[in-house]
Amino acid sequence: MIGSTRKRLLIALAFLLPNLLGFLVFTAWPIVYSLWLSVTDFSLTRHNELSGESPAFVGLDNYARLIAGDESHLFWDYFGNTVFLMIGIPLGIAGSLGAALLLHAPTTPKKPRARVVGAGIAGVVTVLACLGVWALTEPGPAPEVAVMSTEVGLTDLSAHRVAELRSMAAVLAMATLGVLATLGMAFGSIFFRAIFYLPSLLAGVAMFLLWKTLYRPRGGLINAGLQPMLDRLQWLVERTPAWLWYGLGILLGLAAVAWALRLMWVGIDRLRHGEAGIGSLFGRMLLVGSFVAMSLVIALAVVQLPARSLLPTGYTALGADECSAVLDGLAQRVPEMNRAEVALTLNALPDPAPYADVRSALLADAALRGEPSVVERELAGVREAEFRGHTAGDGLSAPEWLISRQWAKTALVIMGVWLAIGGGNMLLYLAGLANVPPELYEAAAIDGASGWQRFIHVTWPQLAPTTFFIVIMSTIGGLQGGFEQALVMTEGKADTIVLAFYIYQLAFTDQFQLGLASAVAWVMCAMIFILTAINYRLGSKMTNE
Amino acid sequence: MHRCGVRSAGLVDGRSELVSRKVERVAMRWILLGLIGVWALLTALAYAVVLPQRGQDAELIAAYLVVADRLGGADDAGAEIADGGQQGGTSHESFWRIIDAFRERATAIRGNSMSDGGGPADAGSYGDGHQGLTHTGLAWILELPESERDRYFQAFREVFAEATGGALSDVPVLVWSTDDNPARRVQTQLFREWHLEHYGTPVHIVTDPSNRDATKTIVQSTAGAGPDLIEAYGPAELRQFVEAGIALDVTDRARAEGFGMETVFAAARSSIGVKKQASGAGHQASEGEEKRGSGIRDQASEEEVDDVDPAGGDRGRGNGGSWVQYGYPCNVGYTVLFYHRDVFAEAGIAEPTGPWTMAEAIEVARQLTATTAEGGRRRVGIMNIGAWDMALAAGGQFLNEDGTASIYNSPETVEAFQTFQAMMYEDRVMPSPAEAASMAASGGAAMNAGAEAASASALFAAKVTAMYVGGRWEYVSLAQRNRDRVIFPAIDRRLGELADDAGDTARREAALLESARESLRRDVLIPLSGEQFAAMEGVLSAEDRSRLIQLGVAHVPTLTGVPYYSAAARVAIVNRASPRKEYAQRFLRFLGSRAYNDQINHTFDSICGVPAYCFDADGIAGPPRPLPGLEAFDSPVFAEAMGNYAEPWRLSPFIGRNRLGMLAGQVMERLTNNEIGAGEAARLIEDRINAQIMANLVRDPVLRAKWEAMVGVALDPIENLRVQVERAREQQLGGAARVGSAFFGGSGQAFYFDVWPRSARGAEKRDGRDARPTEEGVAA
Repeated sequence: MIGSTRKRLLIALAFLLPNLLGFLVFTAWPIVYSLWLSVTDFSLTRHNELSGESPAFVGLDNYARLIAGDESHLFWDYFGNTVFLMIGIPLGIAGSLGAALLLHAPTTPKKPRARVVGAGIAGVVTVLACLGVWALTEPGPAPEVAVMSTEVGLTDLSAHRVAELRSMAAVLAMATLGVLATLGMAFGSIFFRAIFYLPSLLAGVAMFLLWKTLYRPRGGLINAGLQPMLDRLQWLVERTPAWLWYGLGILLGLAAVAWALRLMWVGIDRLRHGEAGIGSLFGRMLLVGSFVAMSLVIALAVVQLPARSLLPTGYTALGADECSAVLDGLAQRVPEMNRAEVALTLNALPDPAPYADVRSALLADAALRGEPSVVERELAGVREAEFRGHTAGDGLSAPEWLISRQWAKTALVIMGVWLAIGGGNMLLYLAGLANVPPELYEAAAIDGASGWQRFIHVTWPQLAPTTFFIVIMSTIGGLQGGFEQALVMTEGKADTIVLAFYIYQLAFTDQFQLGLASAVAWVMCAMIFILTAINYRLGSKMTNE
Repeated sequence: MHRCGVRSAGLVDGRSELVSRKVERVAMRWILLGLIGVWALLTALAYAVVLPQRGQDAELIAAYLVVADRLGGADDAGAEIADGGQQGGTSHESFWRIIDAFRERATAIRGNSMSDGGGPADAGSYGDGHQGLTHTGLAWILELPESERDRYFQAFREVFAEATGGALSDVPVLVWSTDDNPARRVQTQLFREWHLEHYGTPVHIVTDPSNRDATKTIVQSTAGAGPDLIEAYGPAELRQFVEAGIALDVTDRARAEGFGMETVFAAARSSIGVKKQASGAGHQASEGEEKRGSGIRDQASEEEVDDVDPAGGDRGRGNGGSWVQYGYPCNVGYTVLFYHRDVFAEAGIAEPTGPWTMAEAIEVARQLTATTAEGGRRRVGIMNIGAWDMALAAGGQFLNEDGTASIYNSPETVEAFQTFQAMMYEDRVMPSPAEAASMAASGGAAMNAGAEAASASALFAAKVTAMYVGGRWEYVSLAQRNRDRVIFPAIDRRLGELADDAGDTARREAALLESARESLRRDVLIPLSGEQFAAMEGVLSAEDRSRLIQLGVAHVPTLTGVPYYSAAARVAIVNRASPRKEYAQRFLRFLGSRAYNDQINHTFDSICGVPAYCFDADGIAGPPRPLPGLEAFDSPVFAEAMGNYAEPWRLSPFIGRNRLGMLAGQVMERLTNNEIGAGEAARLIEDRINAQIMANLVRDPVLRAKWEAMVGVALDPIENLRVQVERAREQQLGGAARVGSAFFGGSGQAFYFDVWPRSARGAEKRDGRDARPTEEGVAA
């Protein structure tokens, strides 16, 4: 041992000092300072050395404004957006676990010769398949007179060009699959791991820009694939009564909830009988969460599908007189009428635009009967009812992903899940899987456990610490995230502003309200702290078992 | 590798493993050393090569040489300068002392290199090679290759140090936080020259494009490290800097030196100054308080009219008297309507001649969409016109005159919104956001934010869009397009024809064409000589001309038929904390000079903020002549728009401009996506703005007191803000407008009358059914 304790401490401190100083000056101090700012009305324009005013202490006023005061509508709105984007987290975790399981197993033939032969065969098949797809889909030479495709409004693609693009896309997809298969044959899981991790190597913004082009409403790759499918679905939708679709959607949702409840019940039952620990219950919750999220999305999609066919075509024949008669009737019935009914009826009119005022009036009236602050909510509710803008006979159209308020957040979630599946989480799971002792699998196999049972009883519990870590990090990241997406992909439009973006807005574009912005940051911090504490409590029990 | 487990491998291969570890360690060490070496090398390179090259004094020397050339020989220069510069006196003598001493040195250097055997240092040979270079002056030095030039520059540095006792690099450096625009290089050089010419002493100026963010500027300025010249765009940003206390009041100096408020476009005035306040708190309040003093609304609006009337410039103490000036416009920004003249001609549609209405424009656009664009693409009628501007142009104001409440939910706004939606979803003459995004994408460049707008201009340039709302700054991109696609091929074709011809005239023409080509290649903004221009125009065949972009410029159509431009100026503000305030104020004076403003107008950087330089003979129609097809960029519409129809943004002390924009923007987005109707959008925007103002008032007692003083009633936080303001107004009017009170009597009824503007039937029904016992509702 060298020197006294004190001396050793000093030496240690000397080594730590550069980092410690940086931390104190650039991290600790700003944190403390922002806490101070959050209880003042600090605004950069009003309170600085030159303007001579000093910020006033306002206590918890900023927090009150956010939680229940004049900023609360924005705050909770943006908080809701943040939470919405976090729907993707369980899906992402499940996906990355699945990817890790797939990539963990060695998929390469052991003999080098087998690899070469396999890759060769895959390569030949790829080339043949690509040629075949090309031969099947290639539209031939362009006709003399290009026929404009009228399906897409002002978008300037001729039908021939569209067919050409689709053919190219099909060949490209085939080729991509083939190349993956060929290289996979040759290099096995190492290659696939590299491919899966590739998106994480790219800068976030680059990814977002890529997805922005994928999400283009017309001509984007996603809708180019989706639209033909929807077109084929059209006849089905037209021939199906609306209630069936609604019923189906609702049934799906109910089934999901029922199944989730049952799962939970089984878990709790097992816990009670001491068959399983709280950890497995936590695992169940995660599974159930992702399942419910997924099925709700599907259910919602199903409910949305037939919205167009909902509109009774009879109304389109209404003349001006009938219209006014309907309006008169509505005006008198309003207090008794369900607001969705009002909206639906009004939108069924041949041309809803001129009657938007009427609807506003009706709703304002309805709202005024209650409290004035309801107005906004009522209108929002009607808008969310998603009836407007559809006219019978339009056909199903693919979503306007990043533009419409209904789809923008969903689009961001889908992208988030995709990013999460191949990201760092997968690597962590791969590392976790490598650490599972093979003896356990052997023992399970000897006991006659099936693959699923081995996963549930060996892999999943063994991965608990990894899952725990990932859940905590994802939750924190989820609450803080969404800023770049909103800035790059939607510019804060289409209702995609999240809390992090809100902080930026308040502090740097909206009157430089640094005090209020700091308060948002601290509220966010508190939320993260609470969530993490809950996670930690549940998780540490799980991992200690 | 061995197929055994790791542990057994350790036993078997222990020795080799040890060796490989050692190798690894050594390799790692070398890699680290290598990395550090590379870093050191790059740093050394940066300091040794890159930084010195960016030495500032080269630009100062250039300014000296140019000014010396411009002012002519040393004999008569003294008198000229005494006229031009107000400072006069000793500084100018020192200027000429330096120049004369340098002239001697330069002659010596030139003589030396010529005696070395002629070579490239022969000024005459450069003079031949570079058109426009003078043989007699000094500016030819600037055209020398760098190695040659440096000898002269070194001589200049020595001369300067001898004459002034200080190095050239000690000259004060102004920092201007402006954007990264190539035109700024020209402008800073102009300032250096102008300053030498007018003050006789050198001053250096650099731009700082990376610190333009307002937050950064404020923080830097309060810490004493801010830019000397701060750039602001529009009244709201100016007020931020004024409020932050970093803007210097230049009112008196500006008036004395001729760059006061009255010299700029009326609509730009609120971008460079604020109305003088009666009390200490808040600048915008004064505007309102003045009006409250007059008591009657009509008078207030009369005042406003006077403010925006250039003719009313010197009423009383002049407009300069009631304003506090903080800056001076670099240029003014607004957009007009561009259209393709050939597309109009093909479709047999008459071009718009004067102000026109939206209905006319939509009809024209509808006819145009029936035609097909080049390559079988569908024609788009009009692009880049927004709900925001349409409503403002129709007369729908966000705020009332003194900013105490929002009055956005007016029939004007609703009508504008309806027209706007109809253009996209009924008339189909303008792409909806989804369509625009898709079209933007097909250009391939539409990945980043703002690319939609960029692509709208690209679609216009490709003649897919027939009409487009754009700014004068788009000259460069359109001119480059014409140059690359039509003019260059035509010149090359002609040069090919001339190559066989050995005649004198042919040689002459070829030389002219080549020099024109070279000049255009370097920059479309470099003015061509009359001969060059004629030669270039001569080679364009009728077919070439038909392929040019043939631009027409007209007023943006509005619902009322009276053009409306929401204008703001990009301005420079002097940093109050700057140690170089004196020079910074001189820069503002420079912004008011002919040299600067002509430069703005001639380089199509929108138009300058000084009407005197826009309306005179040399105004925006001066050199350089726009390239063929783009003559309309010198159209009088630009100056007319700013001079006659532009209005400044209306501000309120009770709500921030950005917050207002955010609240309105969210609703307008839904309107644009056809998610809500026009009436609902107008009402939502008004409600939101009023709710925000109300929240601000309730929170801030000072603000509340100000509001109550302006409106004349006590604030009732429950009641609709607009209702309170309207009622207070009616009381001030002495109960004359009972009709109005019927409209805004009860908080509930305000809704009905507002959202049922054209449907008397509905209103009756509503009244009959909803006669609740509110005091005025019953009276009505």
